Amino acid sequence: MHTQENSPRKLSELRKENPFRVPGNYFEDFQARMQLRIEQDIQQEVRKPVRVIELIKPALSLAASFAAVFMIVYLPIRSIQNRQVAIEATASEVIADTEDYTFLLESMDENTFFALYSNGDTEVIPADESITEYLAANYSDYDIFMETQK
Amino acid sequence: MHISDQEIMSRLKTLNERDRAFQSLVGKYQERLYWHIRKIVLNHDDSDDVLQNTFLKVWKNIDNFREESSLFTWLYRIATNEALTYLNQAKRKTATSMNEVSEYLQQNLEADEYFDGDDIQMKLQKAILTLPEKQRLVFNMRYFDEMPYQEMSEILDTSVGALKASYHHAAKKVEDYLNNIE
Repeated sequence: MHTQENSPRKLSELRKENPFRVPGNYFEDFQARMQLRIEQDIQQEVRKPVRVIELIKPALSLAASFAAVFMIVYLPIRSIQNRQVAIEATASEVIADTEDYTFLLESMDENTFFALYSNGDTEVIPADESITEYLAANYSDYDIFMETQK
Repeated sequence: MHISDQEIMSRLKTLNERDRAFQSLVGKYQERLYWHIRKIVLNHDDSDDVLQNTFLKVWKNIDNFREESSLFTWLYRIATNEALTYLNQAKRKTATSMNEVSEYLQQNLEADEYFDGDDIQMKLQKAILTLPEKQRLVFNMRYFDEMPYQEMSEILDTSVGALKASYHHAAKKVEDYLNNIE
């Protein structure tokens, strides 16, 4: 037995021995105990009830994957589409306003139109070009000729 | 009766011979793996648990073993991982830092009725406990088991050069500890 006085200072001076031991017959019995442990483990695996969560786990994983793809792909696309829809809506509102205005003008008879037209505070005299365009669009040369003969 | 690793492996892959082949494997490697584990976890009862966990894992993963490494290397790797996992679990239960794990191991060592070493051996074990985890593994495998660096390299997945450096530093630290403790 080494004492404090003659304690080795280098590893090479130490007696290299295993200071540990095992209980008697430990290794002789280990194989049998190991076999028993494996059998118990197999029985536990067999008896182990399949939990609901284990059954639905694959479905949940799949759903999670779809949700992830949805978040990554669909939402950005949708936000881009929404922007486009907003732009189109603004454009279509303008178009709708124009269409409504045209519809009102078309459904109005000439008297009402002129009444409204001349109802302003200042009397606006239409330009010659406007009158010419209006007549060209709404009356044939024959109509104009017949009107001037009256 | 001596049975080669190759024969054990081929019989393990055959379903109707698996049980007997596994018995052979346990018989062949139980002592070597036990001592390897014992030097990591120190206490006999803990070593027994870890050894059982190791063989259970081997049993469950026989079909996954692709024989890219030798059976010996595979077994040592599992045993090492199981021992370190065991220590980490103990760390989570009782301690928060690696220093406290060393304390846990020191308590384990002092309380172990199957420690037969003298005062010097106890000091040596305590010196080894001051080493970082990887250095401790390397030191034990090289100093006590005299394992070739090449085998250690395969088990620990570390280059031979790094292992040699690690052992050199570990041995120096152990000697310093032994010199300063008095």
